[in-house]
Amino acid sequence: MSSPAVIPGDEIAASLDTRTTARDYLWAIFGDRVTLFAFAYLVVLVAFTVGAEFLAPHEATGLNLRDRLLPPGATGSKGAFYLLGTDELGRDLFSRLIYGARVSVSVGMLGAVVSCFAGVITGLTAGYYGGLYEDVVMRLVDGMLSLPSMLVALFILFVLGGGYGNLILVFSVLHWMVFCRLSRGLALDARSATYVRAAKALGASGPRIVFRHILPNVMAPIIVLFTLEIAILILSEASLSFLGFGVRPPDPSWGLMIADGREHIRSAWWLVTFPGLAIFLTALSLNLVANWIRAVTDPVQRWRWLSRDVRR
Amino acid sequence: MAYYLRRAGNSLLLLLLTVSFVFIAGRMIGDPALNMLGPGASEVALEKLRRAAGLNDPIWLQYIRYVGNLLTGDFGVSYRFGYSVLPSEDLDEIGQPVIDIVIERLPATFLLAAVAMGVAVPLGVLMGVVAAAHPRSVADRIVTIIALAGVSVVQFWLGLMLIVFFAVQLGWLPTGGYGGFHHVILPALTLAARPIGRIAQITRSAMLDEMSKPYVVTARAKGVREWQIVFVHALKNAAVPIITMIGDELSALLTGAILVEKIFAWPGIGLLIIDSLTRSDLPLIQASIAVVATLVVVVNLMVDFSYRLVNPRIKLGTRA
Repeated sequence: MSSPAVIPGDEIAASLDTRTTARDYLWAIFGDRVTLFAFAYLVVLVAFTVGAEFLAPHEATGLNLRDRLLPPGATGSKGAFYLLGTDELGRDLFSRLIYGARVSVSVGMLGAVVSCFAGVITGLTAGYYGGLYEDVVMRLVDGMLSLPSMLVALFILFVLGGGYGNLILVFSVLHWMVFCRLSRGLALDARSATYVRAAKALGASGPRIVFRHILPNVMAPIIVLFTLEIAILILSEASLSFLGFGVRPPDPSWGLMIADGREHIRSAWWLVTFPGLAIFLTALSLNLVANWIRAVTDPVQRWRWLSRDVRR
Repeated sequence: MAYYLRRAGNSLLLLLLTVSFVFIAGRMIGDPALNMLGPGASEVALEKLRRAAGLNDPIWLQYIRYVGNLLTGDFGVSYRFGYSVLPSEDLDEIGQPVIDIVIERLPATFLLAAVAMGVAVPLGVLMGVVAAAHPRSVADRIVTIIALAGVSVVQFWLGLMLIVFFAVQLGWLPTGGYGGFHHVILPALTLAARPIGRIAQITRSAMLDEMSKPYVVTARAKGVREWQIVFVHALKNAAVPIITMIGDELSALLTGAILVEKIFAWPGIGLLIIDSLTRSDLPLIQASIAVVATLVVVVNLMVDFSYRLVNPRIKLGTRA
């Protein structure tokens, strides 16, 4: 009657254990080259955003007129190496891109965070509680969604003036509706689910059901949308700043850099090309990551991504 | 019918709210009289203008007058365009009616939008259909990549790159301006990139859904040719999401034109909006926003109404 180390049934149960661990996700990222590239790019970008002071090879401001408009890979007057060339004031383009990442990425992130919070809170409660509250919220959402958002953004920034804070404000006001509509639909579906009825039967309060029970179950599509929205907001920031209604000049933003480089488009192609490429790669990576999250969290598709043997 | 009326009524209400918002916000940026005459104007001239334009009246009276004028198509006169004589007592002399300026710019924008969508819709649908007909093939991968690139690219940057390549390096096409057919190619291509990607994506996923349905299996069992199944049977059933996306992209295009017109110096309503914003020409801003918002709202309405034409099973106005 010595106690056996392994009961046969446990072994079978362990082999049937389909819970997904962090290692599985990591494996899924490394298993797909395209996704790996997207994640790697975003990690580098976040590193640049946080540690621009330490990672940029040169200063982003301050002029050096002897090294004006040098092409990529050139060596400047004092032996300085310019990976992506210099602009019309002799500033290193690569360093300015790194500092620009800080502005562009953080505007996109913060705008998405605020609109996500506002939209998810209003949307989930509207879907769960229904009634007049839902009608009012959804009427507002439909109305605001049918307005041309770029135009409204331009006008608000014209009235309030550009700048970092106002951009985030405008993005939040004009983008919370997409989160609201999505989460309202999700809450509407969840309202009749067994786990919600069970929670209600146990006497859970409305807010508790909405935020402790429904929210964790509908996180996946919200995260996907959040990722896509960051990409959209970074693109909008670039457009608005390019037109002169976004970030103000001393701050380097990718859109502003393209606007500045436009004057030298015939002679110095790199000034326009690289900031645009940076935005493009950022949006592309965010889209790829969103697709990946969608696939990995979709019960029908996930086996293909998480299993180690099946070729995709 | 009641549904159509209710939807149209909602849209009208929305437009009224938009116009009101623009009116109120426009008053927040400062004294309209000072704005109109410029910082060097004398106090006498300012006061004269204020009295003539009714700017001394209470704000609610001005608002009612403003909305009333809008209903008769009177959006006021521009501060800057056609501005030749300094204001006398007669306000009509100081500028051109803004609505005329806006309407004059519409054909250029419509042309641009029509060419861009004329390229984007067939191409996007075709790409999506081909990808869905051969899932996981090389063609599918290529379409997916092109679609992702089209969605991720910054429009105005793509326009600048096209200018550098086709206009500056190769010299095949003009860098901008308005004129013959060769002027429209680059701006239209720039505008088409995003809709091509979005339409291809939505077509692919809608078609993939349809292709796994029983009626496709039945058609195959009957021996219907594969291209017929794809283009006639499945595409027809996948139409609703595709049309929604086309409508979305069309209204996005009307505002996306702001940047593209700016880059290519295309004299459409987008360029007019930028010019009026940089010159703080408030009546012109108000009129162009009202016109563009109306266009967008009309496009959205048309999309809603077309659902029923495409799919008679959809009952409008009932909650799913």
